[in-house]
Amino acid sequence: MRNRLIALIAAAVCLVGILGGEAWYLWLSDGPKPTAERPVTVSDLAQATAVDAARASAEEILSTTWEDYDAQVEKAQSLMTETFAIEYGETSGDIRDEFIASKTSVDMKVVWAGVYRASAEQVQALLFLDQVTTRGDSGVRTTPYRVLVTVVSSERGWLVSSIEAR
Amino acid sequence: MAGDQPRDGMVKGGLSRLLARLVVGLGVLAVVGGVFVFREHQTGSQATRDQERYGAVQAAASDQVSALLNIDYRNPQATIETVKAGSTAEFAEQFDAATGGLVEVTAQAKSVMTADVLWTGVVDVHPDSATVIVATTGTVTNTLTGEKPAARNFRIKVDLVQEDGRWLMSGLDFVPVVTQ
Repeated sequence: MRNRLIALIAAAVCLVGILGGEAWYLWLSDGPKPTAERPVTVSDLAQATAVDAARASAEEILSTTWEDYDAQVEKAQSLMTETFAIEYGETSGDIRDEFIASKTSVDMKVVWAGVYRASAEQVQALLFLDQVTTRGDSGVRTTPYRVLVTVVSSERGWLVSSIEAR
Repeated sequence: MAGDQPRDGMVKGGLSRLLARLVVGLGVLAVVGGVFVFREHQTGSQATRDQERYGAVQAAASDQVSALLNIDYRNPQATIETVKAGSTAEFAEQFDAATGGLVEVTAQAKSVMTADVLWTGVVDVHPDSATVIVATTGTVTNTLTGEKPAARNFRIKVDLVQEDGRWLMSGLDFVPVVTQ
């Protein structure tokens, strides 16, 4: 009887261990990190949704006009992580007076967008943008840009954590 | 005390039956969990193959753009052959037809262009075709730049198709300013 009890307890402990391992695999294990060989580790739909968010946010953040500069900065900051919003606020503050005085308007349009890296937590999108700048009465100038936009998953959806232009 | 032995036996017997039921229950759960794990693993393997396609098309586009933009007037044929080797027959033919002018211009200007791929972005990918955008940075040195390196940064769109397990370039466009 004693041996039977020991065997049953041992079996129960083993099975609990197996169930724990299965639960970890199904619900708790972290997804793979993106690499050069496997840059996307989420579904097509998930990465496309994030790239669309990066595209829309970049256009909103990078477009602004002297007529309602402060309101646009505030709106842009609502699309960013806290850290990036602070950094953006400082940069926007530095150029504010000159931007308004010169009656500058910047309109950014995404020409092409593609996914560079994507995981469940973070997506980086490469965007080709055309920047249309209007300054006072001095006409319109269009400049091509390439930017890498990083968005991170949050309770508020995808938020921009960096924009790198080179 | 002698009367305790049958009682002790009954308790152990009851515990044994309870444990046996628990083990059976846990066993059933483990089998069901195992099925879910197996199915998840199968799904994951297919997803991994699909996701590795992104890496394959990024690498192919990057290699082709890098080959195209690193050209030296002293040996332009090396660039041309590398690009053609990574292209479909149709695109290689079009490229060949266009390179006569390229070789001439490069030689006349004593042009040396170097470029690095900064980023690649997959616009669209299917089992046999893909569109990738590529951002590059680099310089060109030629008689027009006074033999000094001048910055040349490009936005490029590459179309790819898969043939015999290889991703080949079927189209390439320098993306101009679109918005006016």
